Amino acid sequence: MKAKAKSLKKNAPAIPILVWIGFLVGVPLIFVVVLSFLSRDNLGNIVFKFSLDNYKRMFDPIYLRVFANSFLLAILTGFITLIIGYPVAYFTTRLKAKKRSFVTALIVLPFWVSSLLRTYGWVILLGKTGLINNVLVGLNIIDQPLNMMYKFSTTLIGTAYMLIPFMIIAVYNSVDKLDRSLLEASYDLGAGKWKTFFNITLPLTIPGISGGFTLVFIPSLGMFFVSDLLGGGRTVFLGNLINTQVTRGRNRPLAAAFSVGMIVLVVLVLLIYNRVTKNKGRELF
Amino acid sequence: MKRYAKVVFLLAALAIIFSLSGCGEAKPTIKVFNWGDYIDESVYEAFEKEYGIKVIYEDFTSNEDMYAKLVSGGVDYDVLFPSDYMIERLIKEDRLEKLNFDNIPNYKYIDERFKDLPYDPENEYSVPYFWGTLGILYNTKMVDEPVDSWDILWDQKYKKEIFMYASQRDSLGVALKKLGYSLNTRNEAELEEAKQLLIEQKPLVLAYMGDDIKDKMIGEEAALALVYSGDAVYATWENEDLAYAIPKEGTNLWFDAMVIPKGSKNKEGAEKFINWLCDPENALANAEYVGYSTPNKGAFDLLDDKLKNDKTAYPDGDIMEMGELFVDISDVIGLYNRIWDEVMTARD
Repeated sequence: MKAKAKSLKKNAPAIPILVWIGFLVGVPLIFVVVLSFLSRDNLGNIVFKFSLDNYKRMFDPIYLRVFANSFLLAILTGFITLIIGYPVAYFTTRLKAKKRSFVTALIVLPFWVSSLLRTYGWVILLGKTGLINNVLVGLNIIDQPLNMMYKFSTTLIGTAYMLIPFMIIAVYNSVDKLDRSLLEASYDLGAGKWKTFFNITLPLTIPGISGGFTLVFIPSLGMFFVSDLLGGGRTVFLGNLINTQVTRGRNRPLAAAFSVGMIVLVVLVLLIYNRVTKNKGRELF
Repeated sequence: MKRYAKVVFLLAALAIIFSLSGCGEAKPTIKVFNWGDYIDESVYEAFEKEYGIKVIYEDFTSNEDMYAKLVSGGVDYDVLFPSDYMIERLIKEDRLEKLNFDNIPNYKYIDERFKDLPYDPENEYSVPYFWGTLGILYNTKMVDEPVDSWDILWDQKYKKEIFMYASQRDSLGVALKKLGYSLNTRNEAELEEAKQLLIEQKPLVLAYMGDDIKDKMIGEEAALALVYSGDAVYATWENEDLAYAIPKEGTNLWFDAMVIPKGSKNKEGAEKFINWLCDPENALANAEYVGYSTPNKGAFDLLDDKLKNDKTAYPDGDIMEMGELFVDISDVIGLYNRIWDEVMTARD
């Protein structure tokens, strides 16, 4: 009893935050879940009648394809940001303190500009009369402008670009915390640079990698404006589907069901993340 | 317990602050809910000066957004600017006030052609604000054949050179018109045919978009696009190589009109505002600013020659013959949504 009171006292400052989060995240979430079991009338108004139809419709092949599209986009975004982000994070930790804070500032800098604006930047770069095509045509490297816009890969470029700072920061933190003496021990025992990297550094930074992967995977499911602007609506992703169901389709219960589906997808990824980091924790520390 | 008391106190204090911020309006006001960038601001500023009524202006991006906000409750707009089919629906749902035309003498300037329209057959609820058509905007440098049919949007020659609207009624409407059906069909077989046609077209389409299309066409990103006449006027003025055509199979003819929703707190002020916008000088200012076609005959007569003779905005012939108005199809919206989702998720 006493211990409980003590921990309550210790955690008291957290209570307002918990109330705040509970209110702003919990209540809307309950709203969404309840909504997903309701139906709507012809005018798009909510009808308070329990129904599983929305979930049944979610398993319609056309919507399953949307889930698959989103999953693929999120996974690929994770891999691309990892492949580009890991070396960046790795070499940043090697820099001298001053340079290092400069580089980290550069990595965070894009967040100062609206993401919508930055997406428009890509539109200007990649368009048929965009910067890249103009330069290439101007230098006579190509004679017809390349079609780079409105493809799955264009959307992928957009999400990867948008989310790569999360990957870099996550990996950076974990490389930074690495115990240098382990590396020295590895060198002392005769392992080369690559061997040390693959046997020591990489396994030890897996928590950072999976953390970064999760941080990238989850938001990439919802960045509907990126696929709207760069994908030209040619591939439908979950975010777009939910957006159009709420606005044009006026089918909020169905949109709620898709949102729940998306949350389930996210929870799955979080569970995997938990497993990966937990195992590592037990093995190594 | 004390902590809870504090939280309750804080919440109560917040509630009081929020409720107070709504008070203290000595001046009469009207709340206007309109499409974005759809009025010359000086027109309502002059209205404020003339009548001493403050105008609170908010904008929306689609009829559906407007509708959602309107029915969500807690709003008290005085003037709305929905489109034809939405007005029909609002009337059906008894959400609109009948207008008192004694307060809107300038209604006499509205062209007779634009009265007795199907969405408000008795002219009781609405006053037309702008109108337009749906058609094909094309780049004459890339398309050297005459454009007079929707068929060109299915021509393999223009693979990846076509922009379509990402809105279901517009794009489905085109397919239905090409097939010779009504763009308000409730017939599932006809909609299935339209769906097949749009899926067939998908490999040719560069992108499905919204308002961006006009800027992309000005930037010559594609050869052909589905656009509304108002956007086409703007685009053809910005880029001389662009031209606009209304296909012979017929198209969509649309109206945005001013209405007063139930729950308006200042109906008389709202009617004054509608009257103000029907004044030929003011309607002219708006027509010049917005670029869409004005239904106001007084304003049309005052237009400068360039706009008056612009066949994109004011086509020759009987426009009622060329176009079909959208009708409210919300009773079969589920069917439309399914058909459209199947088009959008189909692989090319």
